[in-house]
Amino acid sequence: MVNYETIIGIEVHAQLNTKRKIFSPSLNDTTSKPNTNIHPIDLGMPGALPRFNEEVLQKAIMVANAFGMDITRKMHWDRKNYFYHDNPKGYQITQQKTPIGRHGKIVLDSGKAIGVDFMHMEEDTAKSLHRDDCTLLDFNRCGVPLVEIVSTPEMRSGAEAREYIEKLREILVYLGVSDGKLEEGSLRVDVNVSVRPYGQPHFNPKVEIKNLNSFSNVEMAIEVERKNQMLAYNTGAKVVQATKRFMENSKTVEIMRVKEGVVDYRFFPEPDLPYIEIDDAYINDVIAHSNKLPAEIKAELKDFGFNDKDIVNLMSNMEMVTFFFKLTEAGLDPKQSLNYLLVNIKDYLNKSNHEFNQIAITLDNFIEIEELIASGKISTNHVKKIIPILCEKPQSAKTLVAELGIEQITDPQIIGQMVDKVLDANEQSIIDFHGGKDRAMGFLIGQIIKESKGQANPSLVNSILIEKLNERKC
Amino acid sequence: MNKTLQDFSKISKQEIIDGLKADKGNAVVNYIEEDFGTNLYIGLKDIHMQTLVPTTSASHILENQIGSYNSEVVSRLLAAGFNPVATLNMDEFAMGGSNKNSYFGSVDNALDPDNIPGGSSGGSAYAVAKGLLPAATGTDTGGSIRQPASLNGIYGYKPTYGLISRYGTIGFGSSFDTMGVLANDLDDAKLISAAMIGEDPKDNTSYVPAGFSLDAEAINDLNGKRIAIIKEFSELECDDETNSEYKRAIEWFISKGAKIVEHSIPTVKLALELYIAIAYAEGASNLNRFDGIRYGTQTDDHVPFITTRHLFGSEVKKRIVLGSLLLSGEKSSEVFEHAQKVRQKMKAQFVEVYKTCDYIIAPSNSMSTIGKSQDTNSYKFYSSDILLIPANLTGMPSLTIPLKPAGSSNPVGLQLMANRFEDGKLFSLAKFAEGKING
Repeated sequence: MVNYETIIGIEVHAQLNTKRKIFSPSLNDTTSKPNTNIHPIDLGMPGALPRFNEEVLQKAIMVANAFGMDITRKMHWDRKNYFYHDNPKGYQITQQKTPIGRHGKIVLDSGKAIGVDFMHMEEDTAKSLHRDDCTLLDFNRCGVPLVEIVSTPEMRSGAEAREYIEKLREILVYLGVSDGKLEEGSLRVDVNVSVRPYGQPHFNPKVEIKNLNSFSNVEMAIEVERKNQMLAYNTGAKVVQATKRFMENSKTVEIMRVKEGVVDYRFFPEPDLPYIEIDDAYINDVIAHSNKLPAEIKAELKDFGFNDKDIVNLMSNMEMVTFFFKLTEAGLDPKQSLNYLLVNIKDYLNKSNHEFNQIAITLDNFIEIEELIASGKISTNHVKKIIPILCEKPQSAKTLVAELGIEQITDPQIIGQMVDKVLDANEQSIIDFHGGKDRAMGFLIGQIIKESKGQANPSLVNSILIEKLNERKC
Repeated sequence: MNKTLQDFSKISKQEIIDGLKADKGNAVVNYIEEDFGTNLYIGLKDIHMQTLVPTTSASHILENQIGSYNSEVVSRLLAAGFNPVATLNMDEFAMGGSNKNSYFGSVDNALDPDNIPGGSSGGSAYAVAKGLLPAATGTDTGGSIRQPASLNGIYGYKPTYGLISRYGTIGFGSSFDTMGVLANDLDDAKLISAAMIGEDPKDNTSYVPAGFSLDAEAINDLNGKRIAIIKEFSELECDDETNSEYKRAIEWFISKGAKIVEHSIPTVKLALELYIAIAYAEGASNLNRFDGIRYGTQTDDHVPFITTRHLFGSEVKKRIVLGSLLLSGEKSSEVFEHAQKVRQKMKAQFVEVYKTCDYIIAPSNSMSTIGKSQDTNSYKFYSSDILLIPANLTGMPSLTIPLKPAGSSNPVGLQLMANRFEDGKLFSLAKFAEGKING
């Protein structure tokens, strides 16, 4: 039995969430009604010329920096010529010769670094909607900015491949440059899989797998394909270079096409666009305006003394992380803030089936809550009660506490009057107390709280009661 | 003939259209009936997208396509008060120098109907030289304004690349394409060009230096002026008419005080090859979009793309094949990169000449007339273009002026060339020579 090693390389196409498309003034919004965000440039009308959207450059620089890439200072665009119905100009504008970034890496939790060979900017094509008798085209997607991120073939298992993509996605999402949704196609993953006996220096023919719209499908497809290939070699069959598609229902990979020779895209420099030249000052300025990277955030959270489980939990939702930092910046205790989010808010999200960005609670609400607690007006028990209500609709926490009638009585004079009233009615308990019976104390507190309809601040009740009991000793 | 904007200002748009309709030279593709109310009448080469009538580029595939937007050239001309009268015939997709490659048929030469008008802006040159229109736009990728202007005895101006936005003008060799003017009158050419010039954010390759103007210092004599002639241009065999007129022009410049200096620009010999390698490649790619889905018809077997190719004329097909071939295979990018390097070298060699000389002059064409029956696919026909193409390869301006009085048979044009963005200097020199060199 031969032992095989699995070789995996990954190409990711990520849509950048710029306001407008890469080469036209159309809005970059693929969720609009089909063919509404279009322009003669997107449709490749005669005479229309591309004009480069600098926001794409800035976001691509942020990504290249996040992967620790060498950023290319002088770039040009290339035309990739091919005919396809989703490609109205008959060529795609891309960066074949001068990708914006080279030689980056993504580090897995194991410490293994996976090389990011290069990354380039390019335009997306129209979206094909296949019907039984025809194919419909939505040009809203045509000209949406993409970065193509190509790894080195350094992954050795489906799990590594999955983690690579998860890390990659996390970086894009945290940078705020892409929504990174595999299921919606804003992040598209193609994996190249081959196997070879351990020790064999050269690569065997590889199979490219497309249509991977979830992390688990990536992992599963690789497992299925590597087993297919090992079986083929073990039974004396051949593996031919091919493009396959993952079938979600049957959990199998199916051949789309076998590659016969290399497609000649007749690349040449795009004459309609000038060179892009950027210097260190430009790059540094862009990076200075870039969001924090996941690794930096993780380090900061570790500094707060949080455990790994809580960190992973919090970081699974970038908006929650952002909110967490808002809370701490406003002076809230980090542990308390984490507790609010991971316990109170998560609990609400689970019960209500809401997303974090749908809830109404604000930073000001938490500041109010902190003040209410600090002044003894509410207890932590109350907090549990009011957070879900504050999540429902925008309102003031203080007003809510007043409306609910749960605000604690903290006026010593009022509490003193209540204590006197209860003591007057329970002479025996005073005697019991001085006789050393602790239970009497508990009984009296209970009576006072009852008298206040639960609103008297317990610690104030406690201290005033002791004071008054001592007064009544003589 | 030799009618100016001023002359036309006295007649109505309808009269001009009637004149064009009565003419048998086949210069017009579509008439623009809408009257924009001014008397600044012009013709448009049928290559600038506009929303008035179809823009066809003289191709079957665009025969009935009305644009959804106005090209920058048309927008600027309309904004400046020009009143376009007709779209004018041309070689299909500006590919050709004979105007024989038009889906709408060939155009006559204004001076002799048995001769070609040149091309690709042949309809523009014909209508203007014939006196049917005062001026018309043209485009110049490898001489397509200057060669027909010369063959019809009129002015033709190819500006510095970048001065006029290419947005909306159907592309051929995108890194060469320049919009310009053909006119009977030098001042008209300048007026219309000035209206078209302007940096345009819609064309990232457009650029107009601050303070740029076509109005340079007037020239009163040529004392102290150094005019270069290029050895490699002189080595091209020209017909007798061209030789004698060119010689006369040089003598005239000397008589006015200019010093004529000969320079060698070795890369000029490669101009045609560079042009074919780069412009045909760009052109083939630019035509990919006519793929049978949005343009042209799909055949019954629903195979798009390739089936539309029969809608192109033979010259266009030839250039698509050549251009695609040059980009195919493993070595293609090396070839293309090498061509780009030589192109840069040529640019540097021209700049070097302009360090010591004010102008370069050269004939606009090696032949003063070309019969319709002559083989316009011959190497001899193409080789004449080495006089024209360097200005496109280098992006430098060139203005062709007629050396004979308007209407003369066997017309000969003289190119005045200068460094990039020195277009104004060309108009000053032409103004100085106007009516004297060709009087």
